[in-house]
Amino acid sequence: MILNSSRCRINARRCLLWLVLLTVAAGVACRQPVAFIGLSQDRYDHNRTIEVVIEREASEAISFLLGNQHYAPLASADLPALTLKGYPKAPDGLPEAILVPVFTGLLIPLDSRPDAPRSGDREDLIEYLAAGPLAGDGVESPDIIGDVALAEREYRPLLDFLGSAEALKGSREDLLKRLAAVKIKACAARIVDSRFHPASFADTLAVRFRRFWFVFFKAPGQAEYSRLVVIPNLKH
Amino acid sequence: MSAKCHDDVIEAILSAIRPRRGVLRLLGRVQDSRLGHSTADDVFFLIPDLHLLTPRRQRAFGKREFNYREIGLLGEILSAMAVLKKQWDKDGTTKLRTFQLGDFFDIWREFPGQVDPSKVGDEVYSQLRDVLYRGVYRGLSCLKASFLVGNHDVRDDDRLPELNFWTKAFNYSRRASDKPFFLAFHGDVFDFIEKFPTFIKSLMVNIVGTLTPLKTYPVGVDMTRINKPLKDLTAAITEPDHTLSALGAPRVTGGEKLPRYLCNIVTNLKSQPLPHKYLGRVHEMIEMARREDLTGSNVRIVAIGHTHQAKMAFYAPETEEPPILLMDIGAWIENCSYPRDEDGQFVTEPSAQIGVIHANDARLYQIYVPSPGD
Repeated sequence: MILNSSRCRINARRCLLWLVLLTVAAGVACRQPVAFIGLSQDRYDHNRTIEVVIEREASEAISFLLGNQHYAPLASADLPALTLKGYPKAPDGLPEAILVPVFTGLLIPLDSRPDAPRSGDREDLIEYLAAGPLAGDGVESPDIIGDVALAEREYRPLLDFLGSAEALKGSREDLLKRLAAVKIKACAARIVDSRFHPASFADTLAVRFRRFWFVFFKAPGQAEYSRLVVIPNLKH
Repeated sequence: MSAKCHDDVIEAILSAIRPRRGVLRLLGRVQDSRLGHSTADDVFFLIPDLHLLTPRRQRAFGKREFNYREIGLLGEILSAMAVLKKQWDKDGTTKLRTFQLGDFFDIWREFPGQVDPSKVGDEVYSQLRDVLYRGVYRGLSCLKASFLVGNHDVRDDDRLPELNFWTKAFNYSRRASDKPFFLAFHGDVFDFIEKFPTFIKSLMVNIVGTLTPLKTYPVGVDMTRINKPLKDLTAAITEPDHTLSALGAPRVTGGEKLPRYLCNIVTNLKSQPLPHKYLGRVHEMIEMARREDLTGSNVRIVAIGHTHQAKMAFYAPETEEPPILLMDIGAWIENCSYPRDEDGQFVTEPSAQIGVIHANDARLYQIYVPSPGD
């Protein structure tokens, strides 16, 4: 009797241990991943090879290629700095604020026809993907390239998806079904966007594919997802 | 134009080392039209493994440290290169492309436990970090170097957050029809030790690494290979302007005529041993790129680091097959040994190597600066 009682206790402990382990494992497995749209150098949200234009006056416009130096606290000659009304200049030499572009995302669907007005977008996106998730070259186009032929091959299912206007139409569920049809598994990720308030868009959807997150944005009142931001899928 | 750019680079390096009675030597060179350098205005400036550590952690590794750390020699050389880059940018003729070939900051040795980037202060290697990549955010002269990821730069995606890494990089061709001729990567992909689990590698780095005596690597031309039948030596000694005396490393003072080939050359990859242990693997890799029509299918020059053994190996087949030049740029850590050109004497010096490629002319230099008391 004593023996049986002891066995019972051991079995109960084992069951409890297994229960705890299973709970922890399930918790880890179910933990929702986060797609964090953070540093401007990391995220891909515009064609880096096209000059940006600032219309200051109707007759005066400047255009230049954006560089990493523009995303630094020092004021650049290209972009205006902001001051605080009535405040003296800060003693640390830094401006109070600088005006840097916050891109709303690459326009999708991607148009790869050679004569299309945005024909270079697909090519520039492939070059960004080819650089790899640690390259941090989201702001300016570097003067080297990664294995673009390999990247084009590896990311082709998603690139083709991004090139189809039909595929981007409809609800989130429609999009998920179409992605599943081309064997791309979308992940229910929490999206943290450092650029805009969450209410700015009608919907956002993050799709993890190889070592990048592809975040789709739907503008309010639109029937399709029309903007894309790509960010590295790193462990940290 | 070709010689002019190389001369400008030599002058920039000499301007930084002359005040310290420094010596620049040519460890290797291949000047050959088959290298396929199709963008004549590009100069590739290659910096090998540095293995930087904070002074606090350096104490655990003794003399196995970034060479000439106290006098900031590399920072001064790179500052001189940044001045040259500014001038070339202003002239609009030449583009300086700077690559650091990996193992820049040694995360494995700096952080045996948890990676904590806040422990690497802003002042640590300040000049070097500014001139290589940080200056662009601070309004300072900057080479805007591209970094290749080395096995000591990253541990499970942990790294210094200010550093960005490419796994491999090719030159960018202006014309879409031109496939890249130049490829750079760290080289650890060929190393079987890198296939070990993280904890074993960490033990090796932080325990075995502290006990291993300082290594001296033979660099430059492999002298053990010159007593071979003449037919196997190929252009290394048969080129008209190449003399046996140039098998040692000539001193470079600017303006002098340098040997066109200062490198072990093979025409057949079946000849063993190969002049560089990775030459066969590099050839296989490019063959695969050709078969699958990948970006590297026309690569002729491959630059790597990782081994700490500065050496050039040229595969120049007598068939129609394109040649491959493997440039192992060496390191700025540990020592190297090579024969001098003028007297054939072998000297041992702290490794301090630089690679430069321009217009089908690839060069490997060794820099030496005597101690103030010497």
